[in-house]
Amino acid sequence: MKHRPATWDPLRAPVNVTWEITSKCNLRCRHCLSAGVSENQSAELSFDQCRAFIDELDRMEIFQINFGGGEPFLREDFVDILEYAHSKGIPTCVSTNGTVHGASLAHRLAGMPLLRIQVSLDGATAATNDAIRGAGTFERILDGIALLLDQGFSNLSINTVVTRANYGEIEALCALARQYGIKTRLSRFRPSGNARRAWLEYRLDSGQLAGLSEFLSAHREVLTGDSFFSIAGENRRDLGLNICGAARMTCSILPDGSVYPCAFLRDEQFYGGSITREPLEEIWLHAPAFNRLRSVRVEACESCSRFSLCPGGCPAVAHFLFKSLSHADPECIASFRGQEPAYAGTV
Amino acid sequence: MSTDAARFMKREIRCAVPPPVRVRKEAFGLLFYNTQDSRLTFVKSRDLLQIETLPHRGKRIVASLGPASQMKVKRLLEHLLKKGLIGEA
Repeated sequence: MKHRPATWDPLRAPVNVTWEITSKCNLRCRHCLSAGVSENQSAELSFDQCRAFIDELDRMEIFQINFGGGEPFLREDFVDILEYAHSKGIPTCVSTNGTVHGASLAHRLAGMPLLRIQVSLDGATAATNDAIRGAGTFERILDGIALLLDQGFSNLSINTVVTRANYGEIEALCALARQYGIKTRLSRFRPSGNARRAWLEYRLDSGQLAGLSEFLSAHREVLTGDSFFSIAGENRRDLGLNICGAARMTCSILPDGSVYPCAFLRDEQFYGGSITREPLEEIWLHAPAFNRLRSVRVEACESCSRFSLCPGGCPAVAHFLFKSLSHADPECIASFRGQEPAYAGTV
Repeated sequence: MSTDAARFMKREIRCAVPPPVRVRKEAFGLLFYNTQDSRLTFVKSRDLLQIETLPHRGKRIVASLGPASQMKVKRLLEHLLKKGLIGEA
């Protein structure tokens, strides 16, 4: 049976925005999605520009701001930016490497009920994590988590990008998170930034993808940030979005104010505009790159029984591997049952 | 129809939106977002449900119960109440 693809009138505003507030980072992670993709690494919006942009997000009634980087807390005025968003009633989520908090910062964060924090950890052992994130980071990250908890900040999760290197430690990572009384969030390894170079080394093989699918089905409590809908089982259908949100639900803001549909689609052809030159609303509603993405159809998938669970999968992965947005997600579980995923190896 | 009868037939119900829930108007109707679990709820209500902004950022859903839309509006409100996206009228 051929399924009818969902048609979308664009929402009048994103549901959330992913805002890379700085390019500065004290780590050099081997799979960093942001490394080396920004042309002007030093350009950052000023504090006044950040405030004005938050005012615009408030007017647009955006539901949440997801801050990332770089390492957001390396920006000296970042906590003031967070407080300004919260003063508007906008919830925030911060992705941090967990290595730069002192006690006074953790104490200040603990007083922010609208804040969630995801701390990146890429292994349940120092050997695995440190090979990806750098020597000594495992202990520093755990110290950072303990510090936040000690100061009373509990709206916290561990975030792990699942790679071939840490696949065997997923259960142990979840157990580690449980020891701290916090949740685990698993993210998909996608070929952007440094990850393009590490793709062949770190990508999951078909057996691991199938195993991860089973693990996620058995552990509904594990968060995924919607990135695994290409392998998600039926029993996770109600846990979140099962369609790519780029240009439909979300967009990505870079440190200099450039706007892209997604943090993983940052080639020049996907540039939507800059918030320093035009309102986000204009970019959201009218940027050709955004409308192009909204009109993508993955026709090869429309006769698949999983189409309602995964209507084509992640266009960013398809774009990087096949140079086509309308190619089926190469990591869709239905496409590789009994064989290896058909990677083109063109990253 | 008398004025009183018309008023009776076009009653309005107001329901508070709980603090962790955000809502905004879209072309299809209302879009809810629960900040506690990050879940979205798309409500295809077109113009049957409106949003009223209160002081201190609070919001209420305003439903007009006209003779033709009464059943649909009641079903929508029951659904939203069950999901915890609105409080009792």
